[in-house]
This record gives sequence, C-alpha cells and structure tokens, in this order.
Amino acid sequence: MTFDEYLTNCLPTLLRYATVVTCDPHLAQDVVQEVLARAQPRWQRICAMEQPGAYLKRMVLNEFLTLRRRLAARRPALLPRDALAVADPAAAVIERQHLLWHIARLPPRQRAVIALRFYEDLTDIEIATLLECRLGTVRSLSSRAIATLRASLWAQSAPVGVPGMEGLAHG
Amino acid sequence: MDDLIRAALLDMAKHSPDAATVRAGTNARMRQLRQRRAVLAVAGVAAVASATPLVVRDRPQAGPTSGSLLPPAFPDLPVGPGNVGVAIRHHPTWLPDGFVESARQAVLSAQPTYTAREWSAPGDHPESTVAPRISVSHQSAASPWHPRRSDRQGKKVTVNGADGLAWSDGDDVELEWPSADGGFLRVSLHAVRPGLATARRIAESVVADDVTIMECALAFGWLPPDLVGSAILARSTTDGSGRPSVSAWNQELMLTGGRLWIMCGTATDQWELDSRGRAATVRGLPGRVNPDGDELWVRLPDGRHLLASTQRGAVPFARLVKVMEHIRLGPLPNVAWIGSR
Repeated sequence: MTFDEYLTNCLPTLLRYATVVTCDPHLAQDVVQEVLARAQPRWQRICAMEQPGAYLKRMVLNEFLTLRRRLAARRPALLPRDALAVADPAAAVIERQHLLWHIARLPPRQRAVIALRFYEDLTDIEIATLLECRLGTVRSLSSRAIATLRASLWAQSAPVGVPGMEGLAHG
Repeated sequence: MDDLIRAALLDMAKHSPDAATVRAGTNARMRQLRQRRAVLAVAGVAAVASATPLVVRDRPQAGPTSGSLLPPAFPDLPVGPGNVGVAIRHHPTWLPDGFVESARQAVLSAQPTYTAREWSAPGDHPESTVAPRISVSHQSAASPWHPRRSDRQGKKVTVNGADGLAWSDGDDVELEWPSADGGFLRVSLHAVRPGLATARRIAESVVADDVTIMECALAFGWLPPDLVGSAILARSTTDGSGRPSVSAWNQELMLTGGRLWIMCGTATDQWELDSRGRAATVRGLPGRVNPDGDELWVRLPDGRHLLASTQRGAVPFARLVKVMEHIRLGPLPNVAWIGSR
C-alpha cells in the first residue's frame, strides 16, 4: 500500500481518532499533519509492519502527549460555540455535550485513557502498552477520570462557557 | 455512565477535520520540516557560489582538550574537482555517548560567516518525536545568519572563563558564548538530559581547527536577478529520520527565507512531490512537478535525485525550471563522516 493509498482509505479514521484523543479538532489537525509529515519519509518501513494503522495511531498519541508539555497553558479549544448546537433538545443530547466539555478538561493522560478505553475499546493492558506505563497506572488514571466525570455530570448547573449550554440547568 | 461517555466521544468524532484539508496541510508541513532544519534567519550578503574550489589549508591538527572525539573527521579530505570545500573551524572534543554526526552546514564563502555541525542519537526514542540532537555552531560578528538571541535574559554561565548565556525551553537548551575571533559559538541541545550541564560540558570542550571540511557538490549556475547576491547556505545531511546512514544523504543549497531550495542526493525521493503532480522534462530527463508549480524533481543518471523547491510565488515556475536546468553538479562528495563520531 502506498502512502497515498493509505491516506485515501484511512485518513478519515485517523482524524476521528485524533479528534477524540485531543478533544480539539484544530489540535487534531496539527497533530495528524505533524505525524504524517514524519511518517511519509519512512513509509516503506511503517508499511511493512503488521498494523501500520495502529502504528500511526500510536504516533498520534505520542505526539499529543508530547505536545501537552508545550501547550500546558493552552486550554482545549473545544468546538465552535455553535458546532454542537442542540438540534434535538432532548436531555440526553444536552447531557452528552456537558460530559464532552468535562472530558476535554481532563488532564491529557486521563483524557487519552478515556478515549482509548471508550472510543477504541482497548483493554487496560493494551492501553498500558500504548502509554508505556504500568497496568495500575492505567486503572488509576481511568478511575480518577471517571470519578471526575461522574461528579461533573451530576453537578447542579452547567458551567459558564459550555457550548450551547448557557442558562441550562440539569441534574 | 460508560455508554454516555461512548456516545459523547462519538459526537466529538463527528467534528473531525476535513481529510482533504489535512492532506494539503501535510504537504506544507513537509516543507516546514525541511526548512526548520536549516533555521534560516535573515537575508545575508554572501556571494553566489561558483564552481571554483575554495582553498582549504591543511594545518596541523589542533590538540583536543579532553574527551573521545579524536581525531576530527577527514583532516586530509581531498575536495573533488568542481566541488566546493568549506572549513568548519570549531568542533567539540567531547559528546555524550551514542551521538553520531548527522549534518554539516556552512555559508558558502572563503570565510564562512556561519558554520555548524550536528549529531543525533539514533537509539531508542519514540518514533513520533525528534531524535535527541546536538548542534555546535560558530558565527562571525558580521554575519546576519542565525543571529544571536535577542532575549538576553538567559541564565548566566561561564565557559572556560568567558561569560555566556543559557536558555532552557522544554526539551531545548541553548548556550552562547563569545569566540576568540570576535564572533560567538552556540551549543544547542534537543532532548538531551541533563540539558544545561551537558551543554556546558560540550561548550568547554570546543576547540578551533581547520581540519573539518564540508564538501559541497552543488552550485547555482543561474539565479533570477533579484536573488543574485543572496547568501547561500550549503548543508550536507542524512535523511532526517534520526538514524544517520551514509547510504542516505542529501546536499542542499538554500537561500534565506526558503525562497529557493535545492536538494540533491540519495535520500531525496519522489515522495517529496505531491502525487497529484504532473510529468515534466527536466534537464532532458523525465521528472515531476507538483500541482502548485513550486517543486520540481528529477532522478539523475547516476541515481541521485535532484529537487528544486520554492515558497509559493517566490520564484515563478519558468524561472524555477531555468534554475534547475543550470544547477552545476560535481562528482559525488565525501559524506563518509555521516554516522561517525
């Protein structure tokens, strides 16, 4: 498979993955572009691997977690204020928006664990391998993240600035 | 709760960026990565390179102060007829273990106002990150290339008794101090730990000599009138993968600001061009031009690749073709230093 063939077939999937991991479409675009620019010259070697797609996903994850040091002061851009406009005002939609807002504000490694576990459906062992950490660390990151999200979800009022959430109470 | 998180993440995934936009951006990023390596600063005044070899004196080898970098590479390197040899007059006599040489660069001039050597560590590091790297450069006081940092608020350090300044920014450390000829020297580290202590030890090991040569097998034969007189930076490097290999090298000529970039070697391949490009005849050989008309590529009969690139609009396509047609190519340069200490 050539590099171009890979992009044609798999780039949308890689972008969705990066968007979920970073919780920021703009940052996802930067990360993926950086990764592809580095992957292209060594594509022959990557392509010879058993799962080149998984390798690129790992590059995306590493790039994001490396970037976090440089972008420590940067808050996730989230989506444009109207990007998650509530077409369906059902409570479930609002609840998902609220949850997403809080996922985007988790520390990067917690955010990565949540994305890998719930979007990629990886096991804790697989996540530990990807993050190059111990199994216990993954479980700790995961439990802290979920505890934070659970507490946030049941908060009595939406925080200022939640896209499309101003003035909405929930609980 | 789990299902709600999954649903929220799926909502987020729907807002991923457009793939076509990212593909276009990737091509631009490729050019940025190449340009970043050169760190071109402001316009200079060096003359256009000619194909006349520069005279490089063979002086007795300077004795190292300490460490394991003996002797400097190729004190008796013959420069091939038609090629340019530039002496790089400073080198460190100590480097951390695991680093091998990956690049040399110099402004093309009998008295180069800027020279640099780089080493990288091809060991274990995440493939998605830039490999640990060390650079030692020298710049004359008159050179506009790679200027001193305007931020003079660095940490004060001494290097063999001279006052210097050091800066740390994440994985990057820079240390500058004055050289005996009135210019200054700089050690730059990326992802080397401990950064400042290592930079200082390298700095204190730097000695002056005339025995390290960068041989350049490229020269401009024609330039657009508005670019004549621009400073030209020549660079010899490996393929940028962080794993220096003598079998994958490039030589480059660069004008400031990325206005014109020539690359020739064995590590330049067709991937440099957008696959949507079209066929073109370059130097009488089948080549390719990218859709924006700002990159030309051709494989030479001896197996080398030759690429000309310009920032969009800096050099019109017709002139880029003429530059490419008139590039002077010398015999294969000696790049055996790649991958050695």
